[in-house]
Amino acid sequence: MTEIVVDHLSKDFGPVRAVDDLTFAVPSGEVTGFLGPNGAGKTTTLRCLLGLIAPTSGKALIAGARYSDLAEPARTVGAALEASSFHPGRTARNHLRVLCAAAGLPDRRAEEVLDLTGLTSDADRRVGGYSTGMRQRLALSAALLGDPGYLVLDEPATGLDPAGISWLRELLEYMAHDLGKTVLVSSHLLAEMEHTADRVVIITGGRLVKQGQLEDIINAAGAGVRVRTPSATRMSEVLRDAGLSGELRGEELFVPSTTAERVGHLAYVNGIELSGLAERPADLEAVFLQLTNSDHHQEPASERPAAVTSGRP
Amino acid sequence: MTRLIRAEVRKLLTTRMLLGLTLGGIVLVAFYVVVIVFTAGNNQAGTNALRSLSDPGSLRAVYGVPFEIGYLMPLIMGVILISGEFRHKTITPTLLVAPRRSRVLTAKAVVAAGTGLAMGLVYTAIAAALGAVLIAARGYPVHIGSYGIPRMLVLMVLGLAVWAVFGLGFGALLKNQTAAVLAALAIVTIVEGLLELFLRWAHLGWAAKVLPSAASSAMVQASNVKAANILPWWGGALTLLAWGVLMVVLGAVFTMRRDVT
Repeated sequence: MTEIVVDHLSKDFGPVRAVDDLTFAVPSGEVTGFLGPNGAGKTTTLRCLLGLIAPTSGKALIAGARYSDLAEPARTVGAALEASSFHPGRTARNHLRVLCAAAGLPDRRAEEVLDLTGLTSDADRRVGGYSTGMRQRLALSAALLGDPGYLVLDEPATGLDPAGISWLRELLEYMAHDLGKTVLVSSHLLAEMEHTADRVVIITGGRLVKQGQLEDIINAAGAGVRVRTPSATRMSEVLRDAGLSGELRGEELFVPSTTAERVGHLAYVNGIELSGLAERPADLEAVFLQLTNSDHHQEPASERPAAVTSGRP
Repeated sequence: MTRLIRAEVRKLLTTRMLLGLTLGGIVLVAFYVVVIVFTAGNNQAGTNALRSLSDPGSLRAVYGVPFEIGYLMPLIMGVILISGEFRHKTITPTLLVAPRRSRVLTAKAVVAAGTGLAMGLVYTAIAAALGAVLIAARGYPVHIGSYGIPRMLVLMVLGLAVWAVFGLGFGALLKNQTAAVLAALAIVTIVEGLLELFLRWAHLGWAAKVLPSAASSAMVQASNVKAANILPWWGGALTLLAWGVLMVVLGAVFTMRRDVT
């Protein structure tokens, strides 16, 4: 069942089009990753969905309604947008109790979510002294306050330590798989989302690049080859001349949709030294780069960063 | 609406802003009362000194200190009540729980008025009690029940509530907390005085009478302005109320509709 619908959504900030005719759907019972580079328009889209930004055109609906038309928004949707949305002089417990009062929830909910996110022992400290990770936990606590059926989280993993990330992943999976909630979580950390998301919506420059089940998208991309070479630049030229694309990642090149034989042969005939060559199944990062760079091959390389960052409001 | 009002009260009581402003105001009011009582009738202190404490105008100046200076505190409180939400980005969680923004602003206006009223009660009680004690100590009759002073005391309490609402509207319009606080203080302490001079020079005295601070002064008529230059007390009260409402409406129209990014 489709629970969140973004329908031909566009948003202009002055001359800049941050979100451009974006359409996607988010079903319940799954964790949907909302992916894109910084400035792709993720936050703008989520803020449109949550009634904080008025779309230029199109609409974004939750359970068939605009956010501002929801009778009990805090009990329907739990949202965590940025980890800095706290008064530094207020304690975490009081921050949550303010929200309890506004949402008509009993104060014991504040204690329950503090317990759930592991903040109970720090609950009476002023938020000004919190680390980024603790702020993320507090933002998540606020989102869970009304025990909502929908979770909309913007970059919730930023600032969490590895244990926190693993905890967050388990929490999101529990919410979606066991409780059947609708979970939409944005991230620019692709490797992280690969372990968490069941489904992904990928955007760049405010436009949809791909949406679907993560597994299908990765399988469709096919296996690729990882090449390790001291002459990476030369190798990518050779690959390009052969009609292949090589994405440089660290000291490695990832070449999608090809075989080790083909790449090995190319290296051999061009006299390039290889220190590693292995076939690997495609991963989200490779798929993402492949998808978001499709325009790049027709444009001068210098224009790409501009296109990627233009969505920043 | 009850929920939002409760939430706003909790917001106010869970930071140190209100306590700081209230205490600061108490010190300021007490200081002014002391200075006025001990300089009144003392011509060596300078030409600005008030006439002797047997003069009703001087008595009103003592009891009217909450309106001369104390009103700045509810004004600042009102500004911070909304601009603080933008400064600390708490406007995002606030609007996520209550997406209808006019309701949020209405709840804030109610809480600003109530808090301004409470601050007004405290300041007025201090000015009245301290003023009476000091006037008696200087050997003059206290006269707190005469010369329209009881009415003035009640109006000051109500007036401080209106000043808080005025500040709220102002803060909603400017959003930037530092700019809003400084601009509000500059307007009521300097700009209005200059504007008043200009309006009188341009023979627009009626316009000068309806400026917020002029309306505020008219409510207590504690200063030495000739009666012809100011509104009657009820006119001042209604004018100040109108300013408060106008600022909130302007804030609602111009700021609360904008995108929250």
